[in-house]
Amino acid sequence: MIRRKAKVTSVETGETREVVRLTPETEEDLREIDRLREAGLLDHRNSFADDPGAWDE
Amino acid sequence: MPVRGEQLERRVRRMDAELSRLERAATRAITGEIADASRRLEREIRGLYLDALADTRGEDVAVREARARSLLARVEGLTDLTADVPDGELDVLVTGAAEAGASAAEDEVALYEDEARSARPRNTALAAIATTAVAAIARNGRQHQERIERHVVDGLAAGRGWGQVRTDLRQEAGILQRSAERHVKSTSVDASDEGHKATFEANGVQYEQLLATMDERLCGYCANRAGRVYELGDIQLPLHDHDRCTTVPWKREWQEAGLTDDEWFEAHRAESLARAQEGQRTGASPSERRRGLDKAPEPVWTPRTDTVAAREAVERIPPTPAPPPVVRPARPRVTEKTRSRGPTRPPTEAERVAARREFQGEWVAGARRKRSVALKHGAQQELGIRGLVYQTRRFNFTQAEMGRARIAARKMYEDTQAAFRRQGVAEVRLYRGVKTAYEDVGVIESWTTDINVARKFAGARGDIIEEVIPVERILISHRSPGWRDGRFGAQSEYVVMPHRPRRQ
Repeated sequence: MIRRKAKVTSVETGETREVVRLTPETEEDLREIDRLREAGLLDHRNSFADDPGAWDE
Repeated sequence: MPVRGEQLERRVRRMDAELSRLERAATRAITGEIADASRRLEREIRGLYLDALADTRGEDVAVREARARSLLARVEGLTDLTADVPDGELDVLVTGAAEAGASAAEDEVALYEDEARSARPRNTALAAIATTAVAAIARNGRQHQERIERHVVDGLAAGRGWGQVRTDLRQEAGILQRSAERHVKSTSVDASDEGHKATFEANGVQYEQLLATMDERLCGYCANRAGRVYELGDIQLPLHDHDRCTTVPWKREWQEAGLTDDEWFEAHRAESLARAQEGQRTGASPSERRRGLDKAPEPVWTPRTDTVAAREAVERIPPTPAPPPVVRPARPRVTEKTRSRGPTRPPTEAERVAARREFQGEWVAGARRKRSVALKHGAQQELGIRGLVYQTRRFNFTQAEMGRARIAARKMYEDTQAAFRRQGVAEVRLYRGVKTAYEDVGVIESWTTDINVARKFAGARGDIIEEVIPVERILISHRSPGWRDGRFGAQSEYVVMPHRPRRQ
């Protein structure tokens, strides 16, 4: 698994923090990603259209 | 005059609120202890890890691994984050949930009969529930202990910095907390079901009727049993993890006397079946299978679903969102039928433009759609993008579909790069919204030059990544030839790859 930290800015507070961006390289990595998603810790949206709710006014 | 279904449902919801309160208290105590244990471990291991990292620089892997093992021996006992989870919290939960279940069951029986009394389940039954929960949490703790120790060993063997290893350890603690929360919820439903059953039995109730929790995640097992009546003890709740269904009392003489609200349960069953997006599941539920049962219990009565009440209930259901995704392996499956075909002629320009339009139009409709997944594989194969495609549905692709996806990826990339060259643009400042602490990097993913679009995508509590990205990493953008916005309108979108193509 390639893990890359990215500096991010909180929309709510403007604070700077980090998220971890994961690139799976093996089937085991995919399972780990799956576990993170199941646990609600992983953002799995690739296209803007993956989250229709985000665009509701 | 029948006892109305709404009256039963109100009592059930009151009990559910009490269960939720108990669950929150138990969850807070248990996850709090896991968090404390995680912090203790970090505090103790940080210095040891940094020393070991410095000492073993330049050493071979075997030496680094041996050092990691010796390091772990010094923090023995700390890597099991559930070692100090308080058992008493689960005892309190089990007792409280059983009492809530018994009290609700008494209220339910009292709707039908002049006298009703609540009964406490046997202590041995409650003790068994608490013991099972403690054992399950401890078992999870040991599994994560192994993973934690592996992160330390692998981290030192690969020369990873402390920050990276700390992230892995925190991730394990987070997953452990979630699974503990799941166990707490199942335990509370299990104990309240015992309370229900003991009270039904004490009041001469020989049957129970399943009342499903009506939400958009209603599963096929619960839908299949909604409204059905079973002999007392044939159904044991929860049927599966996260199950919030319950049962209400039922007697033949009540039905014969017209006291049961059969019409309400017809509507309830019909609505449950319609809401279960996976369809009904007729076999043994997951928890029944764990108890060694291989088929579902037989109901003694099933509400009809061909009545006016049932039909009207279905018609009243508002449209539901898409079903939760199911994770499948990531490699594209190309059917055998087309695999054996020989080389095909190069595509015409018209075919290339058509492929670009087809796949770009699909991308702005969603990355989990079949052609968007094909486009990811196409970009990987055609441009040499690394990493595996994490996908939640398994699609079969024909050779022709994969061929078109590759053509589309190549055409998008060539046109986009040509446009950037004409404009003299070498890099672009882009933003992307993220909702959680982890994100899987898509083979291609949507970024934007408009920070407000990124803010919306992040949501009120999310974060924004800002990056200056070389144009060679951009597959296509809203400024590329032929781009068409999707149904959410203009989003100043750039479709970005994680690195420059390895195949030009």
